[in-house]
Amino acid sequence: MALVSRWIGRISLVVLAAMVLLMEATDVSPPPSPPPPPCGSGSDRSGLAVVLNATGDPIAEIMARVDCGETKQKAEETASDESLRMAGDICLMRYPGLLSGVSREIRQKFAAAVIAAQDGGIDLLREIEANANGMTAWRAAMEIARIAERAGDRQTALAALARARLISDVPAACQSDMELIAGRLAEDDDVAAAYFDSAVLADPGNFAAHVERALGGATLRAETPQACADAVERIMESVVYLETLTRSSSQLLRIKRRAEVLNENAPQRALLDGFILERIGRKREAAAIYGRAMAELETGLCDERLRRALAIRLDRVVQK
Amino acid sequence: MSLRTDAEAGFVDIAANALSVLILVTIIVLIVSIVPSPRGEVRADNRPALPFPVEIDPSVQPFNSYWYVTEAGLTPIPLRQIAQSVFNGEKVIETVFGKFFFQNSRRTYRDVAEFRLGFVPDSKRIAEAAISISGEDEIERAVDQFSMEFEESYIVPTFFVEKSGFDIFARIHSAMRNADLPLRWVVRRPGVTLTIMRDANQFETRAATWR
Amino acid sequence: MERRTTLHLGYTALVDILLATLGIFVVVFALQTMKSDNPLVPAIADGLVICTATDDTPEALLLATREGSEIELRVPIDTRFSDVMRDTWPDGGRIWVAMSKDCAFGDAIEQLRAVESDLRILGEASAPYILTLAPLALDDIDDLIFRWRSDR
Repeated sequence: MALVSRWIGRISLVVLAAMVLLMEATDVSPPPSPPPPPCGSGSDRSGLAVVLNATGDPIAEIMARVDCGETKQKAEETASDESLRMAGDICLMRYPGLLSGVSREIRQKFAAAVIAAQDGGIDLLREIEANANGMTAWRAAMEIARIAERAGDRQTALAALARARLISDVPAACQSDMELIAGRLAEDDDVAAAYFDSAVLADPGNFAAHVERALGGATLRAETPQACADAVERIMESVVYLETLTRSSSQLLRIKRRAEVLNENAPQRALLDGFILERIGRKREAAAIYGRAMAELETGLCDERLRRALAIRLDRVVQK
Repeated sequence: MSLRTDAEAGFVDIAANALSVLILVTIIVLIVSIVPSPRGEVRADNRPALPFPVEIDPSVQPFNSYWYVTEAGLTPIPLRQIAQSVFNGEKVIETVFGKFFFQNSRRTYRDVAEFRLGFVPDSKRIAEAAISISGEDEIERAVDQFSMEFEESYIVPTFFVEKSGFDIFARIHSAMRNADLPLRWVVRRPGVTLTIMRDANQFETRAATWR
Repeated sequence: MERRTTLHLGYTALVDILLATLGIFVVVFALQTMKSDNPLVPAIADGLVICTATDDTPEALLLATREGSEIELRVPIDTRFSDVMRDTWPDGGRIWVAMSKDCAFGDAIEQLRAVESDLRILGEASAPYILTLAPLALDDIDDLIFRWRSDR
C-alpha cells in the first residue's frame, strides 16, 4: 500500500512538472503589437524628445510615433527648407546668411587654411583667430577643432572647442556643430550619445549628427533598460530623419555599412539594419533581419526591450 | 633527498631565469603581433578576386594629398606653400608645377572658407620632378607610403592623370585596390584647368568621391 | 639543513615558472581559437561594365548575373545608358566600371559620371547603386573578366 502511494506520488509529481513545462512552452508568443495609433495621441513632445516616461511601454510609444508618421512629418518640415544643404559639414554650409559681411581678405585667409589643412592649416587659423572676434573667431576655432579631430589630436581639438564655446550669440545650427564635435571627441559612449542628442535638437537638419546618433544607438552596450529604450529611440528617429533628408537609398545603405565595421555584437544593430532596409522598401530582407535577430536574442538586460522593438517592426513589415 | 652541490643549485637558477625570459618573449610577441584589422564590408572566408572598394566614413572627410601622373611617374603636388601664398593675399601663384589661380570673390557666400583653386599644370616640368614608377617594387613602395599616410594621418591621395600616364596609373590603381586603400582620381585632358574647390554644391553631388 | 631549504626554494621557483609558462601558452591558444571567426573582407562586385572607345564612339560591355547565369550586353554609351543599367541590375548593387584610355579621355567619362549621380537618386525602385570607376589597360580586360567570373 505504501509502495503504491509512493509511486502515485512520484507519477503525479512528474505529470505536474510536465504540465507546468508545457504551459511555459505555449506562453511564448509576445503580446500582439498594437496597431499604429493615429498621430496626436499623447504627443506633447517634439519629434526629437529624448526623455521617456518611466511608466507605460516606451518601446511601443516610440514605434507608434514613428509609424503614425509623426517623426516623418517633423523631418519633412526640416527637409522642406529649400536652402538647407543637409550634408554641409558646418552650419555655415548648411544654411545661408549665418555669417555675412566678412571681408574678402579674411575669407581668402580662411580658404588658405582649408587648402593647407593638416599641413600647416592650424597655424594659419590661429593667426586668423587672434585678429578676429564674434562668429569669425568662432569659425576659426571650429576649423582648428575639426582639423585636429580628424588628425587625431584630441588635446588641440578640445582646447579649440572650448574657445569656440566662449563666443556668445552663436546660432542654434552652429551650436549643433559644437555638440557634434564634442560627441566625436567624447570617450564615454553615454556622454557621446547625449551630445549627439543635443546636436540634433539644435539643428534637425544636421545630417552628420543624425548619422552619429543612429550609429551610437546601434552600437551602444546598453546597461539599463532605460538606456536601451533611448538607444531604440535614437535609431528609429535618426533613420527617419536621414531618409527624409537625403532622399537617397545609397546614402542610407552607406550608414548601414559603416555600422557593420563597428561593434557588431550590439543587438541594436539588427534594428538599425532592418529599419534602414524597411525604409528603402526592402521589406523581405528587413523581415529576415528582424526574425534572425529575435531568434538570437538572449536574456540580457536590453533584450526584453529589443525583443519588443523587433517584434513590433516585424509585425509592421509583414503586415504591409 | 640527497645533498646537492652549488653547481646544481646554479642550474636551477639558470633554468628558472631561462623560463622567465621565455615568458617575457611570449608576452612581447603577443603584443607585437596584434595585426591591424583589414578594411572590409562583409564577413567571409576569402577575399574576392575582384574586391569592390571599401568606403570611407561619409561624414568624416579625409585629408587630401595631390599627385600628378605622367609617363615619367608620380609627382606630388604639395599645397602648403601655395596655401601660404594665398594667405598672404596672392591670387595668381606661379610654381614649378604650373600656375594656380585663387578665387573666392563671390559676393554671396555661405561658408567663409569657400574657394576655387584653379590649376594649370606644366606637364613638362611636372614630369621632370616625377618619382619614377616603372617596376613592381617601386609601385609597392608607393603603395606602402599611401598606406602609411592613410593609417597614421587619414590622408587619401587624389590623382590627376594625364593620357601619357594612364597605363602607369592603371597599375597603381590596381595595387591600391588590392591593398584596400581609398583614393580619388580625375583625368586631365589637354588644355583643361583642374579645379580644387570647396562650396555648398559639393555637399549634394560629390563629383569625385573617395572610394 | 640550510642547504636543503635553499635547494627546496629553488625547485619551487622552477615549478612556479613552469606553471606560469604553461598558463601563458594556454592563454595564447585560447586567444587563437577565439579569433577564428571570419575577418572583414571587401564585398564582391555585382556587375561589371567595360568601356572601350573605338573611333571615338564609346561602347560598353555589361556583364551581370541573372538567376545564376551570366548575361552579356553590348551597348553604346549615350543618354539612355542609365536606363540600360537600371534594367540590367534592377536590384541595384556594386558595379565596377572599367574604362580604357580612349574611353577615359573621351566624352564617355562625363556620361558615366552623370550616370553615377543619376543612379544615386532614390526613386520608386529604391535600388541602390554604387559605382566605382577604374582605369583599365587594354591588356588587362581578359584578366578583369576572369576575376569577376571567379567570384560568382
